[in-house]
Amino acid sequence: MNERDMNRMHDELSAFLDGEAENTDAIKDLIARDAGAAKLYAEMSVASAQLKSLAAPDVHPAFTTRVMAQVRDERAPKLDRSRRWTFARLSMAAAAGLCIAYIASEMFYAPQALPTTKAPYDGQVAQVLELRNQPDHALLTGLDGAMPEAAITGEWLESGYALTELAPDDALDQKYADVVSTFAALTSDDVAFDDDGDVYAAMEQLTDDQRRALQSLLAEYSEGGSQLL
Amino acid sequence: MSDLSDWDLVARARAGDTDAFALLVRRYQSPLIHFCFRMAGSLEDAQDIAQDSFVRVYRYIDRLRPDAKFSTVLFGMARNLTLNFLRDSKRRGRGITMSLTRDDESEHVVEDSTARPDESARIREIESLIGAALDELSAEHREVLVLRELQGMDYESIGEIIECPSGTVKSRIARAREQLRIKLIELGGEFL
Repeated sequence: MNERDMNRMHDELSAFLDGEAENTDAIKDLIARDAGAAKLYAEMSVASAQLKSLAAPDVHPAFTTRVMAQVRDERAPKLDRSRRWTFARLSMAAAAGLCIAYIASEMFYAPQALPTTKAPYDGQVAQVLELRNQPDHALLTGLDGAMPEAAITGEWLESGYALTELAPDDALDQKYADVVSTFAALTSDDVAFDDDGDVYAAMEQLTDDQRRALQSLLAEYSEGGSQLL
Repeated sequence: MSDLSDWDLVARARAGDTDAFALLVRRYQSPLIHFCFRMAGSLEDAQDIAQDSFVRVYRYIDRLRPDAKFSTVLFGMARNLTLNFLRDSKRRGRGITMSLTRDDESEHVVEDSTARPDESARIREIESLIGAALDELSAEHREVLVLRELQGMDYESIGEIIECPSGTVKSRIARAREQLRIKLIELGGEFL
């Protein structure tokens, strides 16, 4: 019997022992007529029985209490973490929105100044900033109502695309989402500062007021962002 | 509430009922710690890993879907954490060293009250030998044997936990049994 056949026999005897063999009659026949297979099966059976007899260790009486204490701790930080990341991303999104607004104004209205009687950004960004000016929980409540929890804590943070689901706005296009992503990437520690010259240049173009507003937002919620401004 | 299924308890826990999750913890703590103990080799580490497993399951409870058994989700988490622990231990040079005479504080051996004193000693000796042989197996072999023999799981469930097809589980258990048989003989397992 070569090694392959031997392995196959082991597989079948082992599966038979576990009640998982497909052709049980053939294995019974093998055990009955082959002394080597019978000995191997007997040894497997003994070792299996001995393994099953190994006693479980005693569980510490306070184990459940310890787990549940940590679980309860988990509930609050889970919200805090979600909120922190949400704010950070929304701040980045707001910053990117300002960039777009600025670029758009330069492209379509230059050299006119941005209207002073109306916010230079609207739609999504305005909504975010408006919520931002309300008590802390308002922004989360707004998000909770608009997005499933899994989306808030999950993959949407990676791209910024899901932000567009907050309140569908035709003006919030692919370019906006791209800039959000790029801006988020720029704030990451492992991305070189000048990886995206366009965004950086756009940030340089912000007015002092815009820059201060962004700096305030980003310094509060994102260390990486504050380095940009 | 104790008659509720695992997934019913998960649904309640998801809705904020922490008592439901506590019931899940009590339901699985003993088998989970036993699994971690046989994998990690120390009761203290096993309890830490098991605790971390429960907490992580709770952390992601909103994302759990009842496509599989809850036990396979939980043991899958514990298995990953255990392998990470073993890798970290190896990297730190700590290793997992098992002695033939395991510390009695970390393993409770159920005495057979009907056995004579010499029989009890013999049972303890055999258990010690089996435990030592198991400890000497690779983690890959040890995990499938522990899940099969100590947890009584079928090949499909084991496959879900270790993320392998049932055919792989079948051959891996057979290889593990063969390795265990060899280790037992090396360790003087004349009782075979």
